[in-house]
Amino acid sequence: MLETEFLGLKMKNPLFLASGIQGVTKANLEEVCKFAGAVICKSLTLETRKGHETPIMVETNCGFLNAVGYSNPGIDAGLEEFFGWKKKEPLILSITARTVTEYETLAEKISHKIKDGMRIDAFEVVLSCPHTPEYGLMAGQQTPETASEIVKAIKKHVSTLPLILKISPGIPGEVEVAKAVEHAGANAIDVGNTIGPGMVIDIERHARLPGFGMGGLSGPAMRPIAIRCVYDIYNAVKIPIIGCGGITYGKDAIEFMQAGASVVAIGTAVYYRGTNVFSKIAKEMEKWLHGHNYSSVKEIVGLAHK
Amino acid sequence: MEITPKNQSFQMQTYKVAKIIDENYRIKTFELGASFKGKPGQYIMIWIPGVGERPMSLGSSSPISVTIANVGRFSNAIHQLKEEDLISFRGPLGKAFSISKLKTGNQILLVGGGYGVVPLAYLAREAKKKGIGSTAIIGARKKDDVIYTNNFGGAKIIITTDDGSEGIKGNVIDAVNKIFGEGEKFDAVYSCGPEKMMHRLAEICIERKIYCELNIERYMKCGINICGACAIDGKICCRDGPIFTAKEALRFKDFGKCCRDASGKKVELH
Repeated sequence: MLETEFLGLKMKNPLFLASGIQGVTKANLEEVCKFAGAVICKSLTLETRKGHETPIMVETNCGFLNAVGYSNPGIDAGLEEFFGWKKKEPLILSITARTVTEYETLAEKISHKIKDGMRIDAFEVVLSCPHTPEYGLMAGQQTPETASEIVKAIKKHVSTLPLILKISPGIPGEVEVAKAVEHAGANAIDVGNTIGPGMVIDIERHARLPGFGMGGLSGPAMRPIAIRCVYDIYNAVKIPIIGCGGITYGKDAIEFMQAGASVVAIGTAVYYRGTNVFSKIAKEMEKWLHGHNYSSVKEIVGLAHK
Repeated sequence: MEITPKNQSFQMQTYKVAKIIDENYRIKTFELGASFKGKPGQYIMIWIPGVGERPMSLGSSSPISVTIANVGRFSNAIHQLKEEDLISFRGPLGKAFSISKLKTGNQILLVGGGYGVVPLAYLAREAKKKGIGSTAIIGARKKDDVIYTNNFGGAKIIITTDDGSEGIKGNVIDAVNKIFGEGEKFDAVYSCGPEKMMHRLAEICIERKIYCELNIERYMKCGINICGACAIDGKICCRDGPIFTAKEALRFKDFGKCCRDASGKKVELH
């Protein structure tokens, strides 16, 4: 009932592990595959990054602010880490960079590894982090011009691998960005990243949280914004959409799919309900589908548009 | 359905430092003016605004206390605190040592190296409340590094030092082999210390079929199962651990061999 296909990849359920949630090691992603339909690794950059100072996460009402700051061992160590993927669940490689040139270098490295026999099922290009200087929103990458330039540059080197473009919902012009990257050759849109940035002040210490001083908002608090964004982008493009933002229960995933998402990604709910949250949500979705006489989850994609 | 804030232990809490105890030339204990329901082996994430947040193993929960060596930027910042200053933290976090299956009259062996003695001393005191007897083997480089011996609730204590300046000259594994060689029987073994030492101890306990738990350290950031920085093989140390059984630990390819730094890069253990 939950089996589906996304970019030609077979999945046991439409539930992705969102990038940045665990996903530092291959062994950890394999563990998550016990529950999730597909996994996205933590984003890799050209060079090693320690990330922002801790605390990197702070809980707020119905969500979290996080400012991890792209801690990662760099593309070379990262590709080595995830080499030899054998699970039937798809592995999506997530990358991000400061400039078009850096994106091209990443794409070349990925292309070489694929020629060396590395299995990567798709890759995600993140233009939308709201809290890391020189990257994503702070570098103004989420515009139709820059986004399509980046997609074209990457596609020159890695044309066969499906490219997912990840945006942050609630930014003016998001629909134009989606249209532009579809035109530039992107194969799917991930809606999306955290939103913001936001800030929490610890009133006992008169100090800002998280450690970076601000962070991206995730969790149920942002869900209506992501739903609206998925709905609008579904109207504007033909490529499939990953819906993401505050999915905690099965009904939330169904809401995203009715808005137009083919599949969904889950992050913060791993905190609320544990690493096996994917199985819990899958069961809740099956129950809903069964109760409403649907035989496949594919039937509900875009229902809210009919 | 209520989903937030779900658990007070995940929220930042702030209390005054009630008492500071100098343990030795570089180690201090900080007692807070508050108590909570923490257990031995659990940790708190201490936050110093403008400096950062780091995990610290609990030395007791009533009052809340941590014992910290001045070895880096963060611990040095804590060492500057005075009584009545504020400490902020999230916790208690992580899994505790388990003594629930043990009974009155049982005997446990505690094996600690360096400031790994802190959670073990706390465990010895909790075990004593259940009528469980403890023997502690404490290793240190030299006499000045031996701390906490009065904190073990009256357990039998064996000290080893690398230079022989106190107790037996040698390491804790020598003392463990000796005590087992003499035919002493223990119902469970608990350890916290250098990972290569714990790896050897785990092997010894598996060979001897003795239940054993280890307090494993990894680079933790979020403390709540999300960021994945503290991954040890497929497990997430901050939430699945930091206490693991010897059997679990020996299945980890990384155990005793390598860990990850702040970026997630593999680093060999020495």
